[in-house]
Amino acid sequence: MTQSMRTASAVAIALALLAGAAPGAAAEAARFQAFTLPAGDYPHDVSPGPNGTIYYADQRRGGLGIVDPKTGKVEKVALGPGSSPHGVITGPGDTAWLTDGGQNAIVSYDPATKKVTIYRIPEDTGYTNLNTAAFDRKGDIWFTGQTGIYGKVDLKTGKVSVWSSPKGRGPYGITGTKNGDVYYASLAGSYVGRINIETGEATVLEPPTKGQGARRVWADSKDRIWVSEWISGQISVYDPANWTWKQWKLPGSGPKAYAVYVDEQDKVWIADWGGNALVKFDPVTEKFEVFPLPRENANVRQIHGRPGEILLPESGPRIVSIFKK
Amino acid sequence: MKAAAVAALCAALLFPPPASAEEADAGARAFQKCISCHGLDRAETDLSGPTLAGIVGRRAAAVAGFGYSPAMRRAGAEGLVWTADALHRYLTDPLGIMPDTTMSFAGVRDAGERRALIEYLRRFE
Repeated sequence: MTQSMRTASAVAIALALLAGAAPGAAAEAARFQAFTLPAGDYPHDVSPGPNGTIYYADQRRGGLGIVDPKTGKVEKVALGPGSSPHGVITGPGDTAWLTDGGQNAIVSYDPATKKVTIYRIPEDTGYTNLNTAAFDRKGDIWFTGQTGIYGKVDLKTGKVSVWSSPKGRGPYGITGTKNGDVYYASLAGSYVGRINIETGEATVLEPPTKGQGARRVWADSKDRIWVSEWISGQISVYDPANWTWKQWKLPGSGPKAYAVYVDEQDKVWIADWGGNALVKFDPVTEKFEVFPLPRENANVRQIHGRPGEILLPESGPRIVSIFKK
Repeated sequence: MKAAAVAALCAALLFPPPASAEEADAGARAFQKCISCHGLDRAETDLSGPTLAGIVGRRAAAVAGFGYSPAMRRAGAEGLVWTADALHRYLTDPLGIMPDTTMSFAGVRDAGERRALIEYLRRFE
């Protein structure tokens, strides 16, 4: 265990004890390791980087952050004037792909060459409030813009195409399935959109609860689409094999499901703002397990992971943390 | 002469000239940065942010039934009113001025764009 990891663990335990938590809760809190970021940084989304590092999108000061959990050091990569990225994902060669609303562009960073490449949204589209990106089966990037668009970067040609979304504003999280289909969630539209990657057309899929506020989506190994519902406080799942939906209310009073992530064992992880907790859901037993976050108002806006670890951008305290499974 | 100048100044303050079409367009364009989460119709209650209808001059955290962050509720309780000046300051760097707000928005960095946005919001009561 490195010095920074020891410090992070000690801080987590101390926070839990200060909050008057039971010893069991302190042990749970110790599973969270926190990494301090440069002052003023605001981590919105995270994604696994090369060699155990963690990428984060710094929405406030702009740029890409790279946390090295082994040393606790953070490297910043400038992406361009006015940068304000919301999302980051990792592609082939550990390249980071960012949805940079400040530049109204998709921006990539190749860690091997240190090269930053900018793919601008067509000028006549206007401001799009870019949100999140995902890969399709051809290796192209699809992205959402909350003003009411979704689009694609053809990585062979660099061409950026944009479509107006059904029901206008709202496209938020987006995910690619194992077989390369692409789905997005519309927060303001309260639906899930399935994109035909050949034509660019989107089909509206309505979750069972009206006005649920579908915020983020993640595909599991069976290509089912898990949805975090912000307004209803539920998670739901769409199975494209038989066009069916199921839904579950998160535990606690007043849950608000912001982010969803499905791990390598098909366990579903949810960021619940109502309970300030990381919540695990087992689709087989249909049981929830709640892990209170050690810091107040953690405001976890996205979840990612890798085997054995859940990666969390805590936008409230402005840290990146790892939860050991 | 002096009285006439004072009267003219008062009139200008009380009855500002209507925004030009160009300014209105600039304001509408700037509002695209807000539109994902905020509406301008009081009946729109299912968005992730509160309505901005009537925001100019309203106390912070005053839309009934909206789930504001503790930070915004505290600001409202302490008397923050969204005057044009307060909005101008806040929109410069929302995450710097109110770090614990749940609105993840880097702000409107251009002062002219902020002014156009605030003037645009004034039109929606």
